[in-house]
Amino acid sequence: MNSTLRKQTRVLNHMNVPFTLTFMTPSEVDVTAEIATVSQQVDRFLAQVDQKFSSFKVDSDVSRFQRHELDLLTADATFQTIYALSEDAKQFTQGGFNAYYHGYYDPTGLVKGWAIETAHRRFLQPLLGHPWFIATGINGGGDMQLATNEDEFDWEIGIENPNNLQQILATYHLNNGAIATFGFNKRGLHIERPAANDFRQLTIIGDSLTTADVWATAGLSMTATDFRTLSELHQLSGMVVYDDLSVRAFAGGEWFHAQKL
Amino acid sequence: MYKKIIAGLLSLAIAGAIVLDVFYTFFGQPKATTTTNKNKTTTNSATSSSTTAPNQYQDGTYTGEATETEYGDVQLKINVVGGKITTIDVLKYPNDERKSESINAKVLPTYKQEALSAQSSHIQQVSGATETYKGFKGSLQDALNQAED
Repeated sequence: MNSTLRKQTRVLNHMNVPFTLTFMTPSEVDVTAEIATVSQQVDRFLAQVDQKFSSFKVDSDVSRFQRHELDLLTADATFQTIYALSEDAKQFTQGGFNAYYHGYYDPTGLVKGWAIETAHRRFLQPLLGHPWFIATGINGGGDMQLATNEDEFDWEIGIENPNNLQQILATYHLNNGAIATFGFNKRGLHIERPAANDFRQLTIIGDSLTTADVWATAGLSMTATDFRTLSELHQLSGMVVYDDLSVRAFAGGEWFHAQKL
Repeated sequence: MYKKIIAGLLSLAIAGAIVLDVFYTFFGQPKATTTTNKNKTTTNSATSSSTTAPNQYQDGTYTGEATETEYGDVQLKINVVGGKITTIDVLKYPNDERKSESINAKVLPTYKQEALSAQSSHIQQVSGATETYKGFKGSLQDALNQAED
C-alpha cells in the first residue's frame, strides 16, 4: 500500500538518546537538501534544549535555578513553559509526575517528550505542506511524535517485547499523534520508587508526546487502581505489559480483557 | 462560583502587579510586567517547599510577565515570605487549539509476537523503554532505519 514511497532516516545523538528523524516521500523525488536542512535545525534545537535543561551541566538553566541563581519570573519563555508544563503534569497525574520528586526542581522526565514534540512541530511538520513530503516523525529512544499529510499513509508502530528487545508484542496504526512507552528493561529501573503495580511496561497513545510521555512515566509508578481511575477520567489510550508478560489494552479510558500472548 | 474564582484570581494578579510596580519603581528592573485582561481559566496549586528567593525579593507577591508559548500563554506568580519563596502559582491561558488526549481515543493494538525481519516489515517505528545512544546499534529501530534508507 505504501509501495511507491521511500523512507529516509537521520539519527541524531543528544542527551545520550538516539533521535531518529523519518521522512516518507514519493520514491521519485530528491529531497536530500530539505532533509539535511531540517536535520540540522533539529540537531541545533536539541543541543540547545540539552544545554538549557540538563541537570548534569552546571551552567544549565535548571542547575542555575536549583542554585537560586535563575529567577523564575525573569527566566525566558522556554524555561517558564517547561516549568508550567511540569506543574500542570503534577496536577493532572495527581502527583504521579513530580518535577520536585528529588526535593529540587528537575524536569528531565518531561523535557525529552516536549523537545521531540516541539522539534517536530517547528521543523518537520511544515514540510508536510509540500506534496513531496507524505509523512514525518521524530522517535527519541522509543517515544515519538508522528504526522502525515494524507490519509492513505499509516504509520505502523511496533511495541517492543520487554523480555526480548528483538521482538515486538503488538502493533499500532496511526496517522497523526504520539506514542510513549516507559518500562523496566534496558536501563533497568527508570524510577526510584519501588514498583507500586505489576506493570512491566506502559504505552500511551495521544496527540501530544509531552502529555503521553508524562502519563507513561507517572503511570508506571502508581498503583494499578489509581492508574485505572485516572485513565478513565482522562480517557487515556494505550497498553500495559504485565510482569507475567500478559498484555492489556485500553482506549478512550475503556479497558479491554487481558491476554496472554 | 466560577466568576468568583476568576475575580479572585484577577484581584490576586492585580495585587501582584501592584506589588511589582512598586518593586520596579524602587529597584528599576526593566522586565516589569502588568497583568493582561484575558480570562484566567486555571490556576495550578502552589508547589515549592523551601526554595530560597533570589536576594532581590522583599516579602510579597510577584507576578511574572505573561509569556506566549506554543502551549498557550503562561504566567507565573510567586509569593515570598521571610525571604523564602513559599508558593509558586502557574496562571495559564490554555491554548484552545490544544486537543485533549482523547481525540485518538479509539486506537487499539493488534497483538502479534514476532521477531522482525527488517526487509519484510511494514513497521517504521518501534516504541519501547528508553533506548540509549550507546545501545542503539543493532536495536530493532536501528535495523528498521537501515532497511529502506
